[in-house]
Amino acid sequence: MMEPDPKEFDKLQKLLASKEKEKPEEGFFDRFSDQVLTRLEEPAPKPTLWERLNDQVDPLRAAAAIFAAVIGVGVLFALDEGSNMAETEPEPLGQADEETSAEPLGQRQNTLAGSGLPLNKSEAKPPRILMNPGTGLAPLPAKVDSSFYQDKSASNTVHTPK
Amino acid sequence: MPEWNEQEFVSRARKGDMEACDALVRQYQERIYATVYHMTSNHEDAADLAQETFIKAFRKIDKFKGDSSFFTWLYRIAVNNTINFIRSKRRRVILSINQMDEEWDRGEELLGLVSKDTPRQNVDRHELQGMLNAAMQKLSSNHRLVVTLHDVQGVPHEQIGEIMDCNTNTVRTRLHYARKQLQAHLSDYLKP
Repeated sequence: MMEPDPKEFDKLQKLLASKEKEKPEEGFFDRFSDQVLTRLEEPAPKPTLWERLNDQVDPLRAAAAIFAAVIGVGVLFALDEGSNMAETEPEPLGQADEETSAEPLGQRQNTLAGSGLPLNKSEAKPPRILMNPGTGLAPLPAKVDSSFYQDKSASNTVHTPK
Repeated sequence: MPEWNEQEFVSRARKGDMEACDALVRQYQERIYATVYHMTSNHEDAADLAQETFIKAFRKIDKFKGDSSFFTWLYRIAVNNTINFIRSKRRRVILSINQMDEEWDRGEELLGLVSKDTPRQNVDRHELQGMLNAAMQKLSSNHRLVVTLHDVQGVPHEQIGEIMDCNTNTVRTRLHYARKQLQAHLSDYLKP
């Protein structure tokens, strides 16, 4: 922004100072005090909720309280989200479906007798290759040297050339 | 005439002494009215707001702790009241500016025609005053207030800082920008 012209500013100041001469109609200030005191003696209107809050609550403290509340709600929300994430994580082996009922060791159902270890009764099936070994594999013909099976009488005969 | 003792009148007003209230009103009515009037550029609104200022002050006088002078405290009530009023009546103020803008155009033509030595000089001034009021209404309430208090009423920077609850440098900066804006609005009328 350009610096103001000092001559223009002189005029502006004079113009502004001339505003001081703008006055209300004559006699206005003679009646003014009476009007104020008459209104003052009237019962005060019931303050609105906003006015009461303004009177009783320090705006700085109110802002601080609102800020703290927002942070608190944010922390609670973050904790809730965190716990949800923890619940969906895979559980360590052998700790799933732990029951609290007191049963004699080894006599619990679904456990290996005597060990207390849970039987794996999950619905997941073992890989197919373990159920039917060899399935899915094409049979390969054995590579055999045919001359091996030719009639070669096994004897102690010594062949002599004719 | 006995010496003016603000503290004494304030403590009497606290006890419900209406004569003390009357004395306080008469002491400060013109300055409070002038501040509100220069902020609103409307005599009827200024009269209502000035009355409300005193009524609020007397109803809450128990909350006046004496950290500042009673007059500064009164000023603060007047200023807050007026700023709230301006905000709530913004639509009406804009309408009044539109009306003034029409006059502004007419005034520009007049200024070009009328010489300083003609008998119409006063009419010129009146028009110019209207233009100034319109320009004042274009300022933000904080800028308008600082110009009103300092350039119109001659309140020192320090006291304006107390009234507006800001430091003296802020007052000076606001005053600087307010004057620049006024000069921009009135540049056609203020040529040397």
